[in-house]
Amino acid sequence: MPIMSYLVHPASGRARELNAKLRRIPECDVFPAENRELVVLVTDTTSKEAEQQLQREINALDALHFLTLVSSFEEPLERPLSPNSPSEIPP
Amino acid sequence: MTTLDRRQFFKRLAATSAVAAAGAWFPGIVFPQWLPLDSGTESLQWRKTPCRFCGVGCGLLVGVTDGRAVAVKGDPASPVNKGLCCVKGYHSVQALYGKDRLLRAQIRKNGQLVEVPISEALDLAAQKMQETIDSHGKDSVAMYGSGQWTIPDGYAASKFFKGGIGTNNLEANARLCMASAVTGFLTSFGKDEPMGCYDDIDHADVFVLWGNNMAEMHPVLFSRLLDRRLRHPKTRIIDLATRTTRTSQAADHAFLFRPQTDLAVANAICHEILRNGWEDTSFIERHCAFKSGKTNIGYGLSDSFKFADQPQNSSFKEFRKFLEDYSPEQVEQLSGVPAEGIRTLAALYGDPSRKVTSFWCMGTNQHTRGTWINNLIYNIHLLTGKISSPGNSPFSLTGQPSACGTVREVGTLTHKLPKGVVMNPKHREFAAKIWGVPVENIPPKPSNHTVSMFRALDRGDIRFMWVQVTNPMVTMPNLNRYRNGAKQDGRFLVVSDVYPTPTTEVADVVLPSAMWIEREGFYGNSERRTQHFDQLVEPPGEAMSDTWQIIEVARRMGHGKLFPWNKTDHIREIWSEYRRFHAGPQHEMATYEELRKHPGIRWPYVNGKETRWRFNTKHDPATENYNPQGPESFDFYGKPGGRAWIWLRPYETPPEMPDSEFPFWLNTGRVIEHWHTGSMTRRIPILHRAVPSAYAELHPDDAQAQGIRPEDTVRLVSRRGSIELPVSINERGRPTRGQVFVPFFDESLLINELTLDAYCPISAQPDYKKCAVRVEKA
Repeated sequence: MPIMSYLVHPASGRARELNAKLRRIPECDVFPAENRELVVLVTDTTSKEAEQQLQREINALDALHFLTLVSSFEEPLERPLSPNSPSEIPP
Repeated sequence: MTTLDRRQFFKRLAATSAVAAAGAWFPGIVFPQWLPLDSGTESLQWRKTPCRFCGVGCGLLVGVTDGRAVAVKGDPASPVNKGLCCVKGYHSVQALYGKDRLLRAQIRKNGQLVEVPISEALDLAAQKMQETIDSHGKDSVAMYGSGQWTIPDGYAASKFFKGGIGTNNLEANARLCMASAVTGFLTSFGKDEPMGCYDDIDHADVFVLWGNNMAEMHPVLFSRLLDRRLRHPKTRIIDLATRTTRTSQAADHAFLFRPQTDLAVANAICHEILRNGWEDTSFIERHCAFKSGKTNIGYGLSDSFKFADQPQNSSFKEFRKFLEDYSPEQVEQLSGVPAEGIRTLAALYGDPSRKVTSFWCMGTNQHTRGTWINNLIYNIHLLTGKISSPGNSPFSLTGQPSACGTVREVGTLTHKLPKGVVMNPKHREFAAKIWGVPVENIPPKPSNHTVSMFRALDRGDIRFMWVQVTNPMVTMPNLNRYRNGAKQDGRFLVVSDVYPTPTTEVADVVLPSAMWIEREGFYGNSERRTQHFDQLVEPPGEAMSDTWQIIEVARRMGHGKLFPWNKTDHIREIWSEYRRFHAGPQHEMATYEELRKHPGIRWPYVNGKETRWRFNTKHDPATENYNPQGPESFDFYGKPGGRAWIWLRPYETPPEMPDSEFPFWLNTGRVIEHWHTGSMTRRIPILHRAVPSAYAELHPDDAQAQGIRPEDTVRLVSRRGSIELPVSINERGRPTRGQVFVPFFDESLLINELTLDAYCPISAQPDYKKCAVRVEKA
């Protein structure tokens, strides 16, 4: 049950079009910036496979320049957070 | 929390991460439809605390559930950040839960660190310290703390070392970041810490940033500058720096100067102000005195170096004459800043219709003439009378959450006491009376500042050192010498920390510390704001607060009378005792109860009122003619006659400059994602992934000239060491030609093996911004 967040960079001058297309996708929550062509996108899917399918769908949008993954949560949410889940040891 | 609640919560957390990341890359970006983490989380208990990841002192609300800190949002009640956070703040609680958190004490046996009960480790620390004193004297032991110490940590350390053991071998890493600011304040005004406050941002028309990449280092304050410009279009932001950064990109004007020449630029601004008659003659006549000091003052490179300045009376006439060497054209040749740019700066400072606030931090403080450049920025504000009034503020920012509160105010430096200095018999008597110790316990002479202390450890004059909340085996300049020194036989190192670091690697005893909201404490930020925080979660394993570790060791060494408190009340009792040092209108501090209620209170706090502008007779109750209803005047009461000092300080070259063998300047610093040496932020996945390793920023022309491409690795070589690291070209920042910049957060790429341990002779603060290196394609 992944929840992911991205910074989405629209193709030049196509931010409004991209926002509209993303909003039509049920798994997407869209937060456009008001003073820069940049969108915060949060996706909520039921499985890793569904997430991958969604990523393919988003990447196919013409108005998308590129997107950067910021965070992902894949914990089964029925149980409490593991003490170690949010962190990792640096290499 | 229901499953639905949890899912919504994680979605908001994900959005918050992305918004924070966007804010890091594009300062001032606004997402109007994004809601902070403040609804749908009813089962969370939100508790206030200051952030622990820089000196701005943002108020946070930490969401706690089932004994675990799980969320962060900006505290809308905090006047500092008004609900906003930066990327480190939003993810700060994750630093509590790294997989390799130190849970148990360790002692070195047969060369290996092995876990032991903390009581055994405390026993050993106390035994070794006492044995060292018995064998080598009191000055053979030392403690090295931090601007991340809470106020009670620093107070307990000062009382134990200066009042109990009787040595002034107490220092803190703020020596590496703020000492020049302190000596700048003391030499110009006789009192430490800014006269203004963050309210200046809401009044100023011009912000001049002196070597201060505020967009990354003080991002929330920088957002306030951008907000001011948005609401007040007359606002101008000027970036005066040695490399192009995100701050430069957001500024209205960006001027690049050659390293060290800020001294000349500041004098040239004064030259131009006087040439145009823009000075405030009345202010100068009533409130200023002119002074000159020694010149060609050295760099502290030898172990035997000593320096004491000798202020001499000077005059306005002599000052004017002194500035003749600093015409904009002459300084353009030296600094690279166009004469027209210098005139623009002078015109902004000199325009009586504009209020000007200057900000600075490490660029000016980590400087072999750090005290001087602080003096020179004050000169500009004093000449124009733009000081100590709303919007007119020379404002030295601090880097750490309690560099001001703990190090400068408590006085955890070799020469300091909680009030005053060890050299002053009255100050020693005052401290001894409050501490209940014989005045003879407190030595009358400072011993070792930080660089000197680590040199003494290397030589063997210091044999025992206790390090808390800092990581000197990453941060000391000329690191190879000091790491080798610490590892020598006959040295005993105790290190208190929350994660393994290069410093714990060389320790004989490692004590696991309770971190931040795992204990109760206070921090003091850049604007004289003291902030209390409760313990919000239990520390893991046997982790113990640094304050209590000090008390435990002191008791074992027979100094228990100094700390007659229990675990429940000791923070409250320490605060009550410490407050007595600052009683009076110049530094009165709020009570424990008041601080618990508020998101911080600025001192002097007199009759229930904060002082926002010191030395101003309308605002500061300590001024001689204090009258909130009267006309505005000034009393710089830290100096004789209430006059601030304008200093004649020349440009002087740094000790090491690029040459044919080492043709590049090396500049070091931080990135927004990581706090100092990365020991905490590199354990926060999003921050670690954003900037996983250090890199070397090069100017694209320099890279091209050497055939270096973006995917290449370069070798940096100085007279002291060399490292290899990936190159960065036209990414986050861009140095000028002939300069390379490397962040110091990466413990696997120790840039301080290359830096030089030269320091400002007045402040003893090292210069991390300038030494000479060679760049080779690896």
